[in-house]
Amino acid sequence: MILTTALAAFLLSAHAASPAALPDLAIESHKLANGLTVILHEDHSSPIVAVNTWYSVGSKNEEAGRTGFAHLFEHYMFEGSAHAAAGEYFNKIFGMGGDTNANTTNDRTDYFAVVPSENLEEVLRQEADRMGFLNIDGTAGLDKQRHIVKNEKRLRENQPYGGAWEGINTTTWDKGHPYSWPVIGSMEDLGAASLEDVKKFHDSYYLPNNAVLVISGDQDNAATLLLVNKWYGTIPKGPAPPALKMPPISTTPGRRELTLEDDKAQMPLLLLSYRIPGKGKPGWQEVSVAAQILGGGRSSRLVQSLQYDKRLVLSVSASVMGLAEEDILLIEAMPAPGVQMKAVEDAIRAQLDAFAAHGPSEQEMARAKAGIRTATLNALQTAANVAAELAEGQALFNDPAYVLTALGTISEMPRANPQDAAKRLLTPSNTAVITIQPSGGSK
Amino acid sequence: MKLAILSLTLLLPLYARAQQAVPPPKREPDRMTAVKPGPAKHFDVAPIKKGLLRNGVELALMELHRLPLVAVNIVLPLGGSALDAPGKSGLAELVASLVTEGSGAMTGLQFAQALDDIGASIYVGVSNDALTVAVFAAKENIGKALSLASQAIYSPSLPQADFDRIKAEMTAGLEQEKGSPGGQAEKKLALRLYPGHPYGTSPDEGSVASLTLADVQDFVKNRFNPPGAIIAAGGDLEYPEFEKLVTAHFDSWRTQAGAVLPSPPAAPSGQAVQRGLVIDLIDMPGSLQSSIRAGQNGVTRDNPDYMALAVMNSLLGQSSIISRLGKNLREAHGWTYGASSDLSTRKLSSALLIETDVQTDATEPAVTEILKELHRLRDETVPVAELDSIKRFMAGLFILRQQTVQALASQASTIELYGLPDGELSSYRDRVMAVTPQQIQDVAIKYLHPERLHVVITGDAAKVSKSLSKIGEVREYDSEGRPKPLG
Repeated sequence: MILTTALAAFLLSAHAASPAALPDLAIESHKLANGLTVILHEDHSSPIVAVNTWYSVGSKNEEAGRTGFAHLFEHYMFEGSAHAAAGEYFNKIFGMGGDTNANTTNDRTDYFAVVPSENLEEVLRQEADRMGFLNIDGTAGLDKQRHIVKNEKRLRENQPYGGAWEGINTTTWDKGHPYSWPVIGSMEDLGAASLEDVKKFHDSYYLPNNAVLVISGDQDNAATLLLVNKWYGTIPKGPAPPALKMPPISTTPGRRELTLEDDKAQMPLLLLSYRIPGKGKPGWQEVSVAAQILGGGRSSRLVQSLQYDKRLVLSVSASVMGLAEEDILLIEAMPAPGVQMKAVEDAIRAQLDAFAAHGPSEQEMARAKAGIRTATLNALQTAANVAAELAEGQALFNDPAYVLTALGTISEMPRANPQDAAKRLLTPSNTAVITIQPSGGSK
Repeated sequence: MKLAILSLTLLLPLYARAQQAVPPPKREPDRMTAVKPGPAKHFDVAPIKKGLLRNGVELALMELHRLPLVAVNIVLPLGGSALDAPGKSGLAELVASLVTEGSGAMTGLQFAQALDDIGASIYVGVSNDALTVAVFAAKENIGKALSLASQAIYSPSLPQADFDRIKAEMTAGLEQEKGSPGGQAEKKLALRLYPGHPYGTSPDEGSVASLTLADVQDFVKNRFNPPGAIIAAGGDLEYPEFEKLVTAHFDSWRTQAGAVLPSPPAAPSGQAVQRGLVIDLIDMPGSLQSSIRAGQNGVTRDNPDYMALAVMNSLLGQSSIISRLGKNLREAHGWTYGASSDLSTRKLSSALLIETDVQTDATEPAVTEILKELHRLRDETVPVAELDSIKRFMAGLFILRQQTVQALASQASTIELYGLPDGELSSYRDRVMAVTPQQIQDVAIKYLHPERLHVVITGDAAKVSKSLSKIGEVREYDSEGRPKPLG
């Protein structure tokens, strides 16, 4: 018999004052003996259940000469396991009326399935199988996924500004920094990936003790925990994954510049990238609020000043990316025809300086908070999204309800905080400037 | 608020201390055997609750009370871009951007700030069939958001300065599109599917340059009127609340004096008949892939064969993984990241659209395989197991689509806009599951014409033209879409 050993029910509800109550996010948290963290959330509003498996491995964990491997491996996970044929996972999940996919970022690899709830145990059987018993005995699957991923890379790069992200990564971060190479990797490295790499990667990172499993929706917590333990409980615990080598980071690295030529782009584009603390670290929420007030929509400062008042740009925005170790605040501006890049950059600088000098108004703070609140509720509408939020909260912050915790912190934030964050971080000496110029190749 | 947050932080360390590992099970499970599903659970799609304002505006609500959120779509069929006068393509789109730039005594900035104050959004979008004002807010703010939306519809300021700015942005947007291989191909394909019809037309430099503020003022006068309008919502409202809110803001809406209502466009006459396969090839030298867009137009939504065609489309390409195009081009050959098809449906017509971006050296083989898959649907009866899987996939996705207030508002407005019967949603899954292999083959034979499929490709002509000419007539265009001289 399984003892339910840890029960943490976070009930955030019944705030008397308007705005209306946040949702109840009642969560149970468990750890199996092999180190697998299990987060359960019961919600019977619809007969569907979401299963989210979050492995704490992303492109930042890749070795030299193997860029793009974490993502290629994600594809390979659908090539079958000891007790499931290649492609069976997809066929099963879609064929039972579900949806499934996976995605890889710099920080993590996330797999989800959302299915009619009577199929929950079969999903757990399949998902546990590829965690514990991945099939690594033939190159056909690897070669197939290699072709598909190379075409995914071509698809991205064959668009206007397709090289922008690579430019941002290499200019923002120092050479060798784990965020300096693209998640999709280089063609050469994708070509070099071998089955040995697959095995080593699976042994190093695809371990119960490096994963968070979230089950959210139409399920019974107690019954589900038994099922999870049945299918995952005997998968052996692995050694701690290799420690990430993060170089010390400076937020005053000096101004860095890169100009890229783009044969698909028809208009120039200016990208300003600032190093900021990683998602959820001290200062990150503050600078996120600053981004919202500076460039988060029609009434934001950059849009109002550059696009509407001065007509310097066709569009402008500011946003944070959400990377875990260190993050980026990115300002994107498309100059209006005939306007020089320098004029646009100077106008942005002037707005950042004014924000750092005087901070946001109380009204701007209230607007940012109202917008973030609606966006948070919006993000909690589907079972799949709830599961993904809980997984990230657990994996990054040991707080599955982080999405609500963060909303609470932001709602209490004084206006001096975003100002202070902007003063420290959005400085000339922390600016990477990426300029994309049309090369006219397609004319 | 503060108290709740505080109690949360207090709970955390406690929970961390209390956590002990769940002991492992005594024995290995039987991993070889698939687990049989439990009994399928019943799911009722939310009923559409309907009403009517005194001005004839139709109301529809699908309730969802899980979160305090509401989405409302105000759908104006008179605002659809298919009603833009010839040569004025882009007008509806421009109006959509301009109407939120202030109304009555409010400037555009004040309008945006009023929305941001309550964390709400208003997005005005245009399709061929309607202009839609999509409102989204937390429940406690939906009244204020609807009030702002009604002002944008009743009394938009239409400032000249914002008109000029938006026009310049649209012109730049058209320039931008020239670099998008898929976008270029899609424009040309639409022209081939609907020659001479508004469904085939998209804005160009000339039509946008011709737009004037007077055109916009006429648009608002003639086309922002109640006839045909629908207000459809999804979310945390009971019907009486919804009706009260909408009545407060839209009951006094009347057709403006002197308005001339545009008449609906005629149905498209059908695609241009061509003798064999014709491939339009838009040259982008150095392109890393070929963007293949292909299609043929089809039946209207009220056609009795529509459901069988929808299932046939799903079998062909709804999923990039388990549908046939994806299984072939992606899974079997690795030529592409994705291959899909869509039964794109508008009021007067639908079209089967096929889309894939393939590595350059696979261009001709990919087109050949696409044609093969179309022929296979006609020539062979689909195996029962394959069809069952696709049908369950469609029925399951339908349930997943019922989770967001925006999706409910959109489904309710689609039902009203296309005049679909009351049971359309509640019977959807049963109708999907009832489609037989024979019906799939019958509609494939009746409607699919692979030998005269419209094919448009953007890619490196020097590398792909010769091989493509083996399977059809190739007409080359430069990257701006102008025919290339022969020779």
